Amino acid sequence: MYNLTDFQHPRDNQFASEIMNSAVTKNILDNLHKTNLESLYIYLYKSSCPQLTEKTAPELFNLLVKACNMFGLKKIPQVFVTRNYDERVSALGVNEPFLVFSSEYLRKLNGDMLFGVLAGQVAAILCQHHTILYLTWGIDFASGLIPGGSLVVAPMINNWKRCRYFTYDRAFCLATKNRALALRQVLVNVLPADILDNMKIGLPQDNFIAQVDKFMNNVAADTAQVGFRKVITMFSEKDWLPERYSEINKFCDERRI
Amino acid sequence: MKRKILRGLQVSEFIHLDELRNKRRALNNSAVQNALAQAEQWCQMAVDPLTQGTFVQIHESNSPVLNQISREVCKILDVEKIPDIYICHLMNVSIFPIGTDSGESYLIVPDYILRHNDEDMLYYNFGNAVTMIKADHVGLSTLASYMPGGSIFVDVPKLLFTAYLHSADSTSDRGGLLACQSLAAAARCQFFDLGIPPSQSKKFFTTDAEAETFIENYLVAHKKTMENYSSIMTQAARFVQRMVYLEAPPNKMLSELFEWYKAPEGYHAVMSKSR
Repeated sequence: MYNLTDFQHPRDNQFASEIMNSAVTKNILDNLHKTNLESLYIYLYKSSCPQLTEKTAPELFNLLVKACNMFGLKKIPQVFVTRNYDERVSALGVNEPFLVFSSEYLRKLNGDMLFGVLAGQVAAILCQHHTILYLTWGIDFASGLIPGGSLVVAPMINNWKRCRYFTYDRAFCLATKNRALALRQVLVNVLPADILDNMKIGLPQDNFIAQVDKFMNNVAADTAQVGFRKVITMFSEKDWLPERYSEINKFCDERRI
Repeated sequence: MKRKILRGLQVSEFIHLDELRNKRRALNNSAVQNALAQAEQWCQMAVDPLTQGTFVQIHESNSPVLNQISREVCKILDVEKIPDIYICHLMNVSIFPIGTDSGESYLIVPDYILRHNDEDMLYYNFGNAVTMIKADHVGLSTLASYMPGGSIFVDVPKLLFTAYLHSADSTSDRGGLLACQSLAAAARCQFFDLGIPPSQSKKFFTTDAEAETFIENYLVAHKKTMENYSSIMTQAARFVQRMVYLEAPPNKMLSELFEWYKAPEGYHAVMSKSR
């Protein structure tokens, strides 16, 4: 069984701690609870997303149980699907976390790829990501009521949102012990399968490496670009694919995967 | 399908006349021009990390088909520099260029169209996007996509730019048709934008002649429907649509492209000029 420190990325841990240890956070969580927005939040998902069960999705549940055992999550989370082209999967909920998969994303996953992704979400629950996502929903909800409110809180939240993927990727690597597959899952939701196959991910002739190197070198060399990247980072929660790619490689090198 | 190479093709041969007029109106001021030049520079710096960081570049080795189509389209439209192509995960029905007119421009291909569009349609999509580069639409359209909205102080001045962008869209649609050289494929793309999947529109028409009849009937029916909505509120809604949306209403785009296809000085004239 793995410990939190085995898979939680230090940057995820740092940003998550900053968010969760802030006095404002406690205040917001208390208010969300008092005003019963907690139930609204859960209702929003559970009322509109069909639930998957052991009967309707046996492969997924077998793998989820395996991932929970591997990472020490005692309660098997409920799983829902939603029709959303952009989303992937998220651990949501308040006291009883549950997973919401986009049907579009789920369609692309099976076997070890699905197992790795589920492991990532089990890690998310263990790292309390569902609580932070709930909190960010509350902040978004509240800041939407104040003009310009989201501009103030977005940078802090987006920084964390991007770094959480490093944790999922690490859990993926530990669960599957397959570096090439972990690298492939970074791009699985971006590229059609035929192009992804041609990318030769994880092999010596890996097609994505040139872009990864270019991105990481630009970031290191060009200060103006670093500045702009930081600005964009503030207002976009999108994960940087090359950064995830190189973090996976670093982690697999350390762990000899 | 064998396509004609339009050697020496100039944008002036197929530009929508409103584009020239709206461009003059939007940019006929040195302060605006200077501000745009500065903003374009910042934009380029922002576009580079975004493109490299969130999209995936394709090459001949990972997508020989897309690579071949983009090369062929550049050849047909007489565009010398073949832009880099990136794929992104997006539910969008057209390829869009991002970058600046003076610097680098990239073509962004949403994965959604790769699942739905056939080869002829991809020629239209690439032709449309490459025309935007050839006709210098990229800087302003990239910039406009980053402009904030939702406030009357921004949206009213933005109207000048959206009027230009809407007419520029008509020009790039014409470029798309010149690249694919199939009215049926262009119409499938336009109807996809209106919500009809290509697999469905293929049941309605396959040849150019069938597409002509279908579009004609569709536009008559649409016009008839719109006659029932001529209240002041509809006019107001149209104004807001023109002001807020960066893309022109798809029905208008279809009708304008079809008009140009039928016009004596339109599509067939440009095609016959090239040897």
